[in-house]
Amino acid sequence: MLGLLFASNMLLVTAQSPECRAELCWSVSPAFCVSATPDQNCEAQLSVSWTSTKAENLCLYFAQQQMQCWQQVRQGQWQQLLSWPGKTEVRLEYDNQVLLRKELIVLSRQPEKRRRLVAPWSVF
Amino acid sequence: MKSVVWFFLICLSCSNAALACSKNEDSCVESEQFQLSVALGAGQRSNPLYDGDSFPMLILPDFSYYTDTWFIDNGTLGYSLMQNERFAASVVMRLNSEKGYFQRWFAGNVITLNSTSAILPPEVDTGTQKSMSAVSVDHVKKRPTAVDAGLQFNWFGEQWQSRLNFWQDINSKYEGQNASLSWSRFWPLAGGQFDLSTTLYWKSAKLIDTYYGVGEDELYYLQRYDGRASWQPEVRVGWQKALTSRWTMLTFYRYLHLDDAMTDSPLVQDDSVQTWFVGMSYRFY
Repeated sequence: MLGLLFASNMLLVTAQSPECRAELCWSVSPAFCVSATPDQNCEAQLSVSWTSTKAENLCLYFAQQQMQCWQQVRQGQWQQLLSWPGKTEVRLEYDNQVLLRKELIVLSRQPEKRRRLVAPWSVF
Repeated sequence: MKSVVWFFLICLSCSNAALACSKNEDSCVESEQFQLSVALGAGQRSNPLYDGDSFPMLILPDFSYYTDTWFIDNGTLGYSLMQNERFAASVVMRLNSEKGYFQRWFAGNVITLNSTSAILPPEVDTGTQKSMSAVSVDHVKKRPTAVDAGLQFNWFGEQWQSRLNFWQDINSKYEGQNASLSWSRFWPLAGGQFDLSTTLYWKSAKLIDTYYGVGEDELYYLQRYDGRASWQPEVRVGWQKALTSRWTMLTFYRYLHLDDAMTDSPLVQDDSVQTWFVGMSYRFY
């Protein structure tokens, strides 16, 4: 299910459908963030929830930062207001082993620009 | 050559530190968006050849079209093999511009600002035979239209850019190579942007010989010349100021120095090519 939220000048698109690996399932929202310009940060309340059929020892990472760990539980929830500049990822890890990974994508309403490789006004 | 390879490798591993393209709008283009600007004004490119017509520049186009990988930009067709915020490597193709000194329409301009008079060049006595020490461009055979292809490497900094090109003649017209290394710096000045560029061109002996050599197949009384490899430094200064979103004031001056490999040719009269332009540009797309 996709929902639309406004956060400052950004349009957030939430993706709630759970993703699973074996007995472990999680959902991360929002999965996409649409910013006004390509160089604008994405700011959103990032939510993660997971469930498992057995008790788990898990840690949640946002980019390279450890956000929360759980010990011997079958489910967990976490949310926090975060700001990130571009494509990044969240991960659920057990003992430094990545069990689930989700890429958070920042899209821009303004068309992406690329470097011009030839000098302007260089026809002659 | 080793140092060039090292420089290339070092820059391949440059960090992708944020150098947003939008910081310098002039060097950025939108993907899949045709860009066309036309400048009207006064300008000229000198012609270093005897009886060569200087090139009037009253209308100056600037066009480009970029996709994520392909691009055509002011006559250069390219495909970017890799690119990030600091570096780009591309395969490129273009018409070699050397013929432009021999044939005015070659560079696309049809308006004549002035033309040099067809004064016969001076003659000198070389002993047993008489030959022309200066050879008019009108007296030699047509020069070929060569297509160059090669590699281009771009480096980008906050207020500077650098470009390295290697070109090879791919339609066997001069069967040689040429290369260039340029560095450009930008400064804000008087509400606009001032830029300074230096470029060093290298042209192989075969290129120089094809265009500026005088071989045995030319008229018998012309002085012969076998071309040598040429190094040609260039300095360019420019200034432009946006008046509105579409209108921009534009001016630049370019000085290209021709070394002995060029000036020893009996076809070449001057040791420089100077280009200048003052005008207003209008952005259509």
